[in-house]
Amino acid sequence: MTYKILIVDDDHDIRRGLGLRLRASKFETCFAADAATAVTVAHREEPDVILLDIGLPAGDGFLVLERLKNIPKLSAIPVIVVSAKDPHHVKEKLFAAGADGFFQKPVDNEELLRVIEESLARS
Amino acid sequence: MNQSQGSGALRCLVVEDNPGDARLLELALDGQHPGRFELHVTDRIEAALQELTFRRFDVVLLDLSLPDSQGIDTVRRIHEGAPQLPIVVTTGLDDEMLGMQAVKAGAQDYLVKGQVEHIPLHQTLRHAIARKQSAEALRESEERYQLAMNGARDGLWDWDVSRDRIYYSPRWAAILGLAEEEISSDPEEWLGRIHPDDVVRVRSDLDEHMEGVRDQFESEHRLRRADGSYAWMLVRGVAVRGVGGRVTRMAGSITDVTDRRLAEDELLSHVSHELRTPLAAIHQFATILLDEITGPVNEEQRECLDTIERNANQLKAMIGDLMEITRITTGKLAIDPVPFGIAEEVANVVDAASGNATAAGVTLRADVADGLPPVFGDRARVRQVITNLVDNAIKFTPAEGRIAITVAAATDPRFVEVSVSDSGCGIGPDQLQSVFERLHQANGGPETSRKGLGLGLFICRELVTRQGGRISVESKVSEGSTFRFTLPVFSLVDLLRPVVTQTEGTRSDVALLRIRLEPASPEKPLRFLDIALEETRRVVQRSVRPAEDILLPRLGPGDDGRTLCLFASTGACGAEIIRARLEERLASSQDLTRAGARARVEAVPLVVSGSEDDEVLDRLARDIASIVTGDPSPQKESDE
Repeated sequence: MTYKILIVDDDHDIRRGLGLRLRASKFETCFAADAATAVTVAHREEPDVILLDIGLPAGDGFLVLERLKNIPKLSAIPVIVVSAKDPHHVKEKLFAAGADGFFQKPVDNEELLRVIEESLARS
Repeated sequence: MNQSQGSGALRCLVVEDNPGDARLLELALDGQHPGRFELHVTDRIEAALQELTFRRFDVVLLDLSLPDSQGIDTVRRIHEGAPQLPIVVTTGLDDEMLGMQAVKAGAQDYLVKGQVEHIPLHQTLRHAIARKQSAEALRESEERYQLAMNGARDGLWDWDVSRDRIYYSPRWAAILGLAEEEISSDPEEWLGRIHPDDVVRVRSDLDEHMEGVRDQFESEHRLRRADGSYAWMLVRGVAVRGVGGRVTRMAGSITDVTDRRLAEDELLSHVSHELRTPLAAIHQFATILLDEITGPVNEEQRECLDTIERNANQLKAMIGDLMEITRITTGKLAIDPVPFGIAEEVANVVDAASGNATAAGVTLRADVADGLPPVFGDRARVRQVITNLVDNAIKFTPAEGRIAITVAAATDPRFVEVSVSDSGCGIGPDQLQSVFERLHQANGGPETSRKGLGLGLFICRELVTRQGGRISVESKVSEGSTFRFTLPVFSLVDLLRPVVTQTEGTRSDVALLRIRLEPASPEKPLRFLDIALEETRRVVQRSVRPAEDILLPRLGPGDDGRTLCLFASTGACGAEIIRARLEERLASSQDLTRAGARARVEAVPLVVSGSEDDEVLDRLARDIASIVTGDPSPQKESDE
């Protein structure tokens, strides 16, 4: 079966790049460019994994995480944060909010794919 | 204080109620030095004080027993009435004691009645005047100094090194939110307030200045304020050297730079964050093409893409450096020291750098001495330092040059020294002092068109000093440079010594508390193990009693990275109580629960045996190492 990944990032090039990369690894992709849309798309598409940026218009990554974790249908979806932020500043807050992984941009693609596979195996 | 002009005679007020004595003084002065003194006699203190307000005198000759004033009080009243006037007291034959007390109370000298004819009165009075003048000058200059100190925005400190006392100005105290009377002159008042993460750095900066390696002491570090918060301070100072260059005194200033630091850090953090997104896109699309996700690429295209990726990686490293600086300056640089073999890390660096070296046409070899003890430091940070030094060497060494890494025991047996030498362009003596400064940029050699950010060596210096080592450089222009740094040798014995060796003898009530992190429920893996570990360390650290317990570092490969060990003196309450208390504290940590972790604490009793401290410590260290690393070598072995 094909797994679906939701990519949430306000930067068009980042979304497109990650999309190309993930489709090459046989994933299906869907996208959102802001916090509110992210939750809507998650509802509609019910992805298997979400890649989430922190700095987003109409809210931020933390808000998205909080919403997702409060929606029973979506709360179990693994969320991997992909952000330009320094992990030292945000990692603790993120894990408290329920994130499953953290990557700082630019991302090591192999490592990202490995963590996605791991999350899928777990859920 | 002005001497009366015109006549040139000294105007002298004689306060004496006994006309005979007054006459004797007059005769003596006039007889010895005719015309040099102009005397004015009065017999009451009230009259004298009035005279002093109307006329100018150069000196007062004061009898201490007057009808309207007696004893020392007489001196005080005159002194108050004319604080700048020198006073010479006359006392009775049997009252030298009173004379001395008068001097203490502000008089310049005293005369014993009945002897005035035999001494050079003129000299006594002149001396009194001179003494008063210099005392006044001193007081004025002290006042000026005091004013400068009170008015300055900066606090001042003045360290009497030989007596190990520091004078702190009121402003120094105020900067830290302390009242003037709250501070002592103990150097600990300053040194004891330094943030734990900055202590090593400040110490080494101080040492380097005292030893004359640096011209000035300059250090930015955090000090604990009265309310317990930390503020960034810029502390500057210069040593005064005595015989043989030994530092006798050191004085300087302290400035609160917290606001500036915060603004700088915010800017850096913002800039590096903003640079990362476009960089991520460049990196992503270059690798998408390279990985032929969008279709095959030919050789020439591949070379172009490789170049893009290589440059993107350079940019990424620079941004990484910027972030590292922010971490250093905000004190968020985490150093996790463990004992490890330095040879292995050197080999890793040589492996990783050999491609670059070959591309630059330079030879890179490593020479590691045999049988070196394990060093104590953060593996990744040490690798980072060596890599940085080697990368630099490659950058500044022309083709066909040589780069050599040497690892050997340092002159001080408690350290191991790593040096990286190159046959590059070298560094001029004018620049040698500043290569480790922040934002220093080398005047690149002919081969280098790129300067970089000038942060690499600054980061190296921070990393080395934070691990308790030193970094230095020697260089000759057009011959090459050698960078050396030291790392402390690991010694469990030295770590245990302060707890085990007590003044009243060897302590035997010790135990090892092993804290192991487990998943809270068996099905779920431990998420964010590093955060769980950090929180565990924080909780344990809070219960560590100084000089009683030691939180041990990870001791080697047998250690799985999920265990913390506390070496504790158990005292009267016993190991079990301490164990239970620790476990309870960890169980109530919400952060641990959130990370899906639970901490189990196990108390392992330790046998203390041996007749001498060193023997005891050796055995303990061996036992602990084998318990912690799970090394099966039995404890009995130490009884051979």
